[in-house]
Amino acid sequence: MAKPADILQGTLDMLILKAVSLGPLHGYGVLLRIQQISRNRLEIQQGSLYPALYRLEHQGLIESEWGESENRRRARFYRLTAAGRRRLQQETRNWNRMADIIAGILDTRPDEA
Amino acid sequence: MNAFATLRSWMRAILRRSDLEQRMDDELRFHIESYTTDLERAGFTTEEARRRARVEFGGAEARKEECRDALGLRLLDQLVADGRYAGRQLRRAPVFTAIAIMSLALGIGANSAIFSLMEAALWRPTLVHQPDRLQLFSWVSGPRALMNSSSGNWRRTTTGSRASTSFSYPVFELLARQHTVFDTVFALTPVGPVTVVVNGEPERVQAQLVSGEFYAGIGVSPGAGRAIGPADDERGGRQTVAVISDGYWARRFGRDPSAVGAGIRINQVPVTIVGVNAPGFTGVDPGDVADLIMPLNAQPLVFPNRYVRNGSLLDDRDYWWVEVLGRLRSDITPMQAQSAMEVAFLQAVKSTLPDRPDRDQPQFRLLPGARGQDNLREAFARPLLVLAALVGVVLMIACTNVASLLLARAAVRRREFSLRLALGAGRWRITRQLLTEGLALGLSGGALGFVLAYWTRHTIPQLLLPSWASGDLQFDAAFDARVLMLTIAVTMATTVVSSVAPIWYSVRGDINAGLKDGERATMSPPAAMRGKGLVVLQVCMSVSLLIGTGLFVRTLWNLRGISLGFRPERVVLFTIDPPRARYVGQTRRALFERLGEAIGATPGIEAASLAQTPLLSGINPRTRVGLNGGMPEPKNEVSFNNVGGRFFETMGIPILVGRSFDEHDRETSPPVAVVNQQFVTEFFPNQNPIGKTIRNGGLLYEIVGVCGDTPSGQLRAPIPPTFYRHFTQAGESGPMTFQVRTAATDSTIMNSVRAVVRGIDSELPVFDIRTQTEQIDALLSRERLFVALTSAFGALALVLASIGIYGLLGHSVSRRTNEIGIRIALGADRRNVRVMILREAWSLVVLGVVTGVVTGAALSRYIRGMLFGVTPMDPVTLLGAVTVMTLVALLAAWFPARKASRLDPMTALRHD
Repeated sequence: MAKPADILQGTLDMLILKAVSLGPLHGYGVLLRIQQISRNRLEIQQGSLYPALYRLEHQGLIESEWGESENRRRARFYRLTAAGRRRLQQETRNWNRMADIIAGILDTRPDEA
Repeated sequence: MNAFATLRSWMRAILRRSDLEQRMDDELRFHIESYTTDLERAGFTTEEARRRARVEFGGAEARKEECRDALGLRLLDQLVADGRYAGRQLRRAPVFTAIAIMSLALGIGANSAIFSLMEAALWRPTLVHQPDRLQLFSWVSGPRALMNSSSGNWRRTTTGSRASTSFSYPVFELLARQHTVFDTVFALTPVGPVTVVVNGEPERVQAQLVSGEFYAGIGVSPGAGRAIGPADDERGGRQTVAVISDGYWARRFGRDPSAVGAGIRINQVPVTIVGVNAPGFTGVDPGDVADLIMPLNAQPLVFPNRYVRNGSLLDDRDYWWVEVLGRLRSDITPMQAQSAMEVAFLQAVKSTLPDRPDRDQPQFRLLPGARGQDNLREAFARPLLVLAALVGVVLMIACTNVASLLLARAAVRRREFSLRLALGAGRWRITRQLLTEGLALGLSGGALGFVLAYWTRHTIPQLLLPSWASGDLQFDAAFDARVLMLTIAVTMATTVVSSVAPIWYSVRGDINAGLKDGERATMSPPAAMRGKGLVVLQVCMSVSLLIGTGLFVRTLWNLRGISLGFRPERVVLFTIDPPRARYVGQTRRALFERLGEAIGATPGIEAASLAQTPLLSGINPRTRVGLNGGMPEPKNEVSFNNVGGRFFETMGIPILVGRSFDEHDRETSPPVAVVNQQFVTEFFPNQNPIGKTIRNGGLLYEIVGVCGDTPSGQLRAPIPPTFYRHFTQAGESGPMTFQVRTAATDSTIMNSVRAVVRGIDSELPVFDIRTQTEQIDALLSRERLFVALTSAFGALALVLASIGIYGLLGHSVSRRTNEIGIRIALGADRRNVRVMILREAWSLVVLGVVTGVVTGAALSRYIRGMLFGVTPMDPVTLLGAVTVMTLVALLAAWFPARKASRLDPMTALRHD
């Protein structure tokens, strides 16, 4: 089983949760929305999207059902669950805190060390 | 919460697998099409857009695999794939698969069968309420027992004292008053076969007498009708009641509900059936198969003259015959009960028996009574353990075979596995695959074995039953949950053991070397050792088993070869038990006389006689006699037999000195006795016994003759001193067994006999018809069973071992094909090649045989008690086992050797 860097996997999960939190989306829509809210500065590997979606659903953080897409085709729509919402908040907090700590380290001047 | 959602998702994925696959398909397709559409909008052509979308998305199949993994389906998929692969492998080599599964099935099946016997005889709890609260009463004393007569079980303890579980009825009544420590105290005693007349038809059933508190004491009620209660167990009365067993109800009454309340007759006494025991009910002792249970107080009415003593045994203080158990009160421990009962017992003995200063005082012992006397355990524990060890060895040999097979296959696949390991497969993954293949074999063999054992579950118990006996089996092989669990455990263990060698070989070791292997799989020396080691192990175990077989065969041979002292051929035995209501005392004796004369005069019969105890029946009645005018003493304990006048002639026992009985010896004439040679040797050494007297039963018998020795009830026991007297001079007689010697082997003789008997009394039934040879065979039933089983196991082991040798050598030949081609091309002739291959086998066989002899001789120590006339290290047996194994092994090695010698050098040289 390919093991990409954990951070990357965890980050993708967080982004998916955030994207879905703004409203139900199908897989392709999640991709577009992440690109959109990152203002096209982030590109997601298309291949890692669906395994991540399935994993999050397996863990009970998102749920899915069949629905109709914009062009009237059948697609699977994903929505955040209560547990997913809690996880998103927790991950956000963790990320911000970690970013703070790393930033603090990186900002250290030679004389402050 | 999270775990619950995960589990639910997993279950859903498994149960709706096709839906899941469809969904994944649809989703991914939708994604690619959407992306394609967007690319088209961005300006690409349809084809270009589609191509880009696919490329950027990546391999859909790989993505789907990752999705499946995310759902936790990987393990399941792998297991299923492994299973299918294993199945395919097995189907591709049907011969090997069949052999492997059959050997496993036979090994596991045999184990299963033995477990079921152990369950029935040793482990299964009886159907009583809280059996661990039941205590069995017993006593021990020195060799000079206080009471004058007793029956039932007694043992000699290691210190030479005598332990018994029999009590007199008056003592039981006194002990039954002990409600301080016991809730209930009850008594029971078997009475053996009795004649029951149902709807005018007589038959023999096993009967048991119980006290009124029996059913209360065991806390179990009959399945139909009512139990025997204290009200039924009262003195007097002209009729009585009975509870019958479920088996008897089915056999005799066809489970007709009207059996409850039906009337039957025993010894002309009307008996009403008031209840039927539940199926599987065996009372307190699992070995008990009483068809009929009656109150103890019915003894004087129904069986007045049954035992050695006459009349009612209920008041007899000097005859100890009932077994007593008590249910402890919930707040009392066994130790407290022991102390209390010791005192009570002493008082009871003192108040019922007179002071006899030359005898030993008995001391009370409380024993666990959860299985009563546990006669089954006494009789069968040791033999069953031996059988369990034997089937264990057979199973080990089967495992070894399967291990060799799997090892050979693993050798061929070495390269494949090394490649997978080099590419990053985990060792556990490969181990799991190999385990699955082993499991496929193991589970098939185990399931088949269990079914086989279940189908043949009656075989062994039936072999233990005499061929003429009717009624329920003494114990029935029990196939219940515990046996199933044990079988599954054995199957799993077998699988693991069989797979260990191939797994170890495939997964350990140098990957590099494994990659370099050609298809012909040259086994590196350590691996080749393993295959050879397995064959040596098989040969060793087979030889051990053959030694066991040889010892049992010789034991049986020796037992059959014991000089019997009489001529058993062409002698037919049958039993007649005249009802006591019509024939008692004088009339009874006269009837037997008449029967003896009439039967003896029948054409086709050379001689006829009767006896209380037929020869070699397993029964050995004893009594005490007084010699030289003295009173009977405990140290003069002898065997005895009450016989008809022509007993010695009929049985062919020689009269050495003096005379046999003749027509002058009757009830009214002076009592005479004939003694056997052993009697003379023990009591009148170097004297002429003729004219000396024996005092017994209040009479003084004059010795008039000395006859040849014959074994007692058992073949193995030393010949006891025996004294014979004419049955008319021996007090009351029970059922008598007639012996008729036919002129030629005549199977229709019983018709004539029955006609003669009917002519004298049409209501006299004739029972238990068998030949003397069958009687002796029944005595040897256990030895015969062991010979049959060990021979079967030994043959099985030989077959498996030869398969092992054949397989190993065949493999070796194909591996060395190239080398053999070179040798032949260089001038080796066929004989040299053959010898070369055989030599490879020879060293293995020799090593296996030597270790087998050592192991076998060491282990046979444990069966010493079952042997007769052979020592565990008997050289003839050892030599025989070694010879048989060597011959079979060489035969198995011959074929690959011959094939090697016939190789065409040209094709062999080209062989990879």
